[in-house]
Order: sequence, then structure tokens, then C-alpha cells
Amino acid sequence: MAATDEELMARAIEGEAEAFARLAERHGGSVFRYLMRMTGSVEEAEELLQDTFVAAFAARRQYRGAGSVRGWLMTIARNRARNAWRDGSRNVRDAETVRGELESLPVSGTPEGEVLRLELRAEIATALAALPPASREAVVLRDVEGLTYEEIAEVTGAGEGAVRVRVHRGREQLRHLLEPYLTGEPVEGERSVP
Amino acid sequence: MMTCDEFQGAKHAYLDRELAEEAAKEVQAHAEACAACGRELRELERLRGWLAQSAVEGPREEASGRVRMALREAAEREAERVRAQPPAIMTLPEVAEYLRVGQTEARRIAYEIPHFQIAGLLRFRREMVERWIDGQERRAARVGGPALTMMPEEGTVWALVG
Repeated sequence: MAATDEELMARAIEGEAEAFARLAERHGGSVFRYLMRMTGSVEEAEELLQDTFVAAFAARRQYRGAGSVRGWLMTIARNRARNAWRDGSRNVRDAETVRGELESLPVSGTPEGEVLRLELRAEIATALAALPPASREAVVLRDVEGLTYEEIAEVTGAGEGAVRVRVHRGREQLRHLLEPYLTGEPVEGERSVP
Repeated sequence: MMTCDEFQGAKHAYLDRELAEEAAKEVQAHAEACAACGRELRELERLRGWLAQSAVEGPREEASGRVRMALREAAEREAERVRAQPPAIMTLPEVAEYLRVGQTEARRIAYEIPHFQIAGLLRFRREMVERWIDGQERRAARVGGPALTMMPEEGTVWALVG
């Protein structure tokens, strides 16, 4: 069985650098996507990704095991990226640009038949980019990356109630933005929610 | 039967699978009976599915490579720092090297530093050596600063003259 995040973290703290590299491998995608959705830039997200893991490695002994390792990494990513996403305006981009960006990225960890069609992924990314940053962040962490409300509260420093409101509002807005697609026929790669 | 208002208040908890079985059934029953709420729930469920399924992209291979490289470098720098620091338990030659004095001088001051023996071998805790240095500094400060003089035969080496 694969080592849990907590086991890898404990080994990294003991000085096994390879264990930390495995954590970076495991959560790199999640942290990268979060950074990409928040900065609106692939290049910037990749740069911040490196910053995040180097900072996390240096600070690993401060991980107390109170929350999940992934939440802890997201918190560090957020701190590294805060300056980059203060200017939210540049996040408004057209689906065509977003599509080009997504196309340049490798897709992994998902069976080929279950990957949503690129066009739809681009529409979703564009709709997410149109949300106010706080809502976008909450929806990305909850519905895209699957963190719990409690974890998101920890990452963002907001109360759990506020996080719920942000997620709910974000979902409503996304529903309106994506309405033409949501009422349409099932799309390639789509599977129902488990 | 659940009202539309009640449905609105419960739908997100339903989507998050936070409702107990009974409450979840009520939400479903309302969604089946009310066309508008039913449509809304179907769309929200579909949206959630899409969002979860859109978590597929990763950083480009070069970027992942840079992360791996940066972590390797950070680990090496850290190991270097650890190596540069004397071990927690030091031998007499290590104490001499740490204090930048010869072993003869080190032997002379060894009795001033708390130490212990293992099978007749002298051992010092690094912590104790550091405390001894602190003590020396405090003593020097108390007596109004040490008299420093250049020892001509040793060139640039400064020595304490008692």
C-alpha cells in the first residue's frame, strides 16, 4: 500500500528528502491547478508551484499534523501567490485563450475516456475566471479539488460559514454562466456524480 | 412535503452529501414534484460533476522537472548546513577544531568544559562547548573587555593577555 501523506511527511521531517519529493509529485497537480485558477497564468502558476514546494520543504518541521498535508500545502501556495492575484482584472479572458493554455498542459491521473472534452473544460475555466476571486477560490478548492469546508476555512483564514456562502454563491453563478451547456445533451467523457 | 424555500435552503447540503438519508429523500421528492427546482438540482449536480472532472491538468513536464530539481538543491543545501555544524557529541580534536586552537591548548582548557568519558575517551556536548564560549564572553565583558595584543611572531593572530 502507498504511504499516506502523514507518513511521507514524518519521513521528510526525519531527513528523507525523497519522501518530500513524493509528496510534491502527489499534490503538484492540485496545487498547480489552484495557482493557475487564481493567477490566470500557466507560467506564473508554474513558478509559484516551485516557490511553494521549496518553502514547504524548508518549513516542513512546522507541520503539526493538525490539518491535512494537502491543506497545509495549499495554505503555503496561497501565501506565496497572494501578491500575484491581487489584481483580479487580468483573469477575465476569452474561452479561446484559455483553451489554448489548457491544451498545452498534460492531463494525468484520469482514464482517457473520463477526461472532459477540452472545449468544455475551457468553458468551465473561463466561467470560473469570471467569478469574484473569493468565490472562485472557494469553489475551486471545494468542487474542483475536493477539500472539505473545514480545510478551506483553514487555508483561506475565513470562517467556515463564510466559506459555505462563497461556495454556494459561486455554484449559482457558474450555473448561470454555463446554462447553455448544462441544459444540453451529455458530453463526451461526462460521467454522473458518484 | 418540502416547500421551494426549504428546498433552496437544503440543496447545497444535499449536493455536498451532508444530509441525513431522510432529509436527502425529501429534497429528491421535492425536485421530482417541482419542475423548476428539479431542473435547478439536475443542473447543479451536473455542474458539480463537471467541476470534479475538470481537475485533470498538471504542470508541464519542464515545470515538474524544475520543482524536482529545486527540491533536490534545497535538500543538498540543508545537508551541507548540517554537515557544517559540529556533531552533538564532540571529541577533543573536534573541540580543538571548533575553537580554532591546537590540541595542546584544547587539552589545557578541557577541564573547564563539562565533559564525560566513554571507555576512557573524552566526550563533550556541543551545547556545553557553546555555553563555555558564552561564559568566556561574559567574563571578558565583566572585566571591561580583554586586553588584546598582536603577537608579532604569529602575524595576524590576536591573543588574550591575562
